[in-house]
Amino acid sequence: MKVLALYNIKGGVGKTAACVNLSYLASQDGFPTLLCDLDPQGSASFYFRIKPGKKFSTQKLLKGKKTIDKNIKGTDYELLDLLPSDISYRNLDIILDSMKKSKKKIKNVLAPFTEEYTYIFLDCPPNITLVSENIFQAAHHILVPLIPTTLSIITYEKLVKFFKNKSLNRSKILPFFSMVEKRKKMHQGIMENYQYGKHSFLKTQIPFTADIEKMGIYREPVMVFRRRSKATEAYENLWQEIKKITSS
Amino acid sequence: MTRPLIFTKKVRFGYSSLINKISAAFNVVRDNRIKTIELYYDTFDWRFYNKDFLLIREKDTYKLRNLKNNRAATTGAPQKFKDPMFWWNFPDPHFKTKLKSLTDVRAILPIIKIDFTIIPLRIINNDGKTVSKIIIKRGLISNHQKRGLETFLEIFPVRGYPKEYQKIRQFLERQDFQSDPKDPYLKALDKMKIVPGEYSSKIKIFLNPDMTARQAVISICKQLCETMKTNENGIKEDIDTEFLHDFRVAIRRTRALLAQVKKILPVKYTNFYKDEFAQLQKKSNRLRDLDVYLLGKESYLRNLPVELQGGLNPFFNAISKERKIEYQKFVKVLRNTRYSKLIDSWESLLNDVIISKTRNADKPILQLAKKYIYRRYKNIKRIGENIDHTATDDQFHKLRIECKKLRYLLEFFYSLFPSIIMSTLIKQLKLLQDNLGNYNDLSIQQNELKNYLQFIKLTNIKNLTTAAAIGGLVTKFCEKQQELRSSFHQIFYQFINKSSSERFDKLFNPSN
Repeated sequence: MKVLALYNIKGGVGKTAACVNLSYLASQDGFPTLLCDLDPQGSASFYFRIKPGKKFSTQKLLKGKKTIDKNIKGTDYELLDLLPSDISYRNLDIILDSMKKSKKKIKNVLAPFTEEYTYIFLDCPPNITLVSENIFQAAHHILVPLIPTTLSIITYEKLVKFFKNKSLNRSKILPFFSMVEKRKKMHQGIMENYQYGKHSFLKTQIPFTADIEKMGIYREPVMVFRRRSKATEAYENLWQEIKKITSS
Repeated sequence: MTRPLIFTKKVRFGYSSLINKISAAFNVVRDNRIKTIELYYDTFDWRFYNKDFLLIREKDTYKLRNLKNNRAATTGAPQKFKDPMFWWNFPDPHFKTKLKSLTDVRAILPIIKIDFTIIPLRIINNDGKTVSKIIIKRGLISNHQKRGLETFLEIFPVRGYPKEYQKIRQFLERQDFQSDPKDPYLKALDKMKIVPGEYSSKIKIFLNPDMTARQAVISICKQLCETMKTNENGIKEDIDTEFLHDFRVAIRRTRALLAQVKKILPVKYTNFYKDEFAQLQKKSNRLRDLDVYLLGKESYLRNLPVELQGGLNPFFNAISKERKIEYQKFVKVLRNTRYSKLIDSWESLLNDVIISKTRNADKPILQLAKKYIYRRYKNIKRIGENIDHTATDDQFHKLRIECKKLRYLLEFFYSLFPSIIMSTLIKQLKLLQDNLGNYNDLSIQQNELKNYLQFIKLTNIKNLTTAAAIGGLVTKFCEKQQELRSSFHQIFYQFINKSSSERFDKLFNPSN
């Protein structure tokens, strides 16, 4: 079982879209997959037409398998389940802070699901708190979508530094370019500098397309309502890259 | 994957009106209709069914489903093969192994075909999320003789939406649907009036202890005759080797019964039919022998070092050639009027109430059964106890025949005695029979091989390898015979040991 987190401290970078589309592709590939929507905004849940919970409290999330089990819902897609977001997640970091082994809590809570799921995707809230640290511990890989701008790169480098300071395994970080507009010279420039450097960015770049924005209208993964498109192709390539890395 | 809940209705129903009713009560999305064809397979004697398996083909995929835990293994279709299919035709090694353990030498035959029209419905909530699925399946069932129709619903829950699932269930129950635990395939067989597991080569006779001897004997003979008839077609079409085998076993059992149960049917009849069936048996002896050699080819090869294995090819080629001829000869026998007259007259006799009385005809069968079994047991004990290291082949032969006779008796009259004891006795007897039978088989095989040597010219180099191969096998078989001889005494005394003897006495001594 591999835990893949989609993380970026900035919002609006294509994190949730990537999480939804990649988890869909994983399940289509025959792998039982769970998407955990840890973002209290509940966007991933929205895309799957599943209402975030109002009663499932953070205490219960952290208590264990039985209660999580009751809250997991099947999506409309074979082999893909969702643990919906919950309003109480707004206070998740505070709760974690009060617990022992506060950084490994999420990792421990996901461990019982090894047999049931081959992939667990975590849609992370756009901030840096104890929740994020938990996610960094729990995940085998951290996928970081970045818009190719100077500010994004600065944010990314801050993340790498954070890992270094906390003695976290930096090789877990898998950055990739998202919302790419090839016409823009700045995007081209940044990508040229970083694609092949020492930072090992993933090769696939996700383009900025209207299709991906329409996911909010269709409320389906993009490859479901638009089988042939640049977006679909890009996510499929991205998934193949990730699959290769995670299976070795 | 979760097993869907299957709902059926006692009466036929139109699915359009059902869809309308469901749409009126819930938010429904209707997905595209799917048409698919499934073919179900089994061996003639239902080996898959008996072990709770189903073999299904859909397009080019074969699926072996375990009915107990609903798990399935799949594989692609066999490539080129001559009808019918066997386990060795399949491409996947794991699948092959599993099929081999289930079917052995029996052909895998199509039982029924179901043409499905599938209408998937999704129940959605106000957010457009699917909360439950109903699949309407209409199946047109067919085999080469008849057709049938079966319609049912599969209800799938969606994880995390238990209330919605309950609502659907309750709605359907109000429409007079009931959940049915029986697998749709088994229901399809019901519709076609096919009874799975009905044919078995094992003898399954239920005798009433109050029956007269004649009633019991006729009951047994009728069943054996049925077995012969059922296997005729499989022999003629050369489907697999076991049709002939089961046919011959039925004849052998019939003759054994007629020989052992004296004065139950008029002597002129028993003599006549014993003789006629003996001749029929004889006409298929060589064919069966050849089948057995061909089935044993792999085993023969395994007994030889690799360099000599090729030497057996001329031998097996000769066997194959001869087999073709014998098969055609025997098919002619079955198509002959002499055969059809024999079976018809035998059946008429068995159904005739007017045949003359005989001394034992009206005696209760239980008494006679005990007498016959007890007598055989005593014979076995006597002959076996006289066997020491100086024993001749003839003595072993006599013992083997007595064991066979006892075995038949235990099988015929099984239902008259406690089944646990009977099955234990048969198991123990089987061990002894295997020892004696295998020894005998090895003698026959050695003779066959040595005979073959007579016909080949030893001046030809190729033949030298054949001679060496045959020599190797004969030696191996000889060794095996020694092993069997040395284990004989232990096996025999296990069969007639004190506790076993006491059991026999208690159950079968007529004076008890």
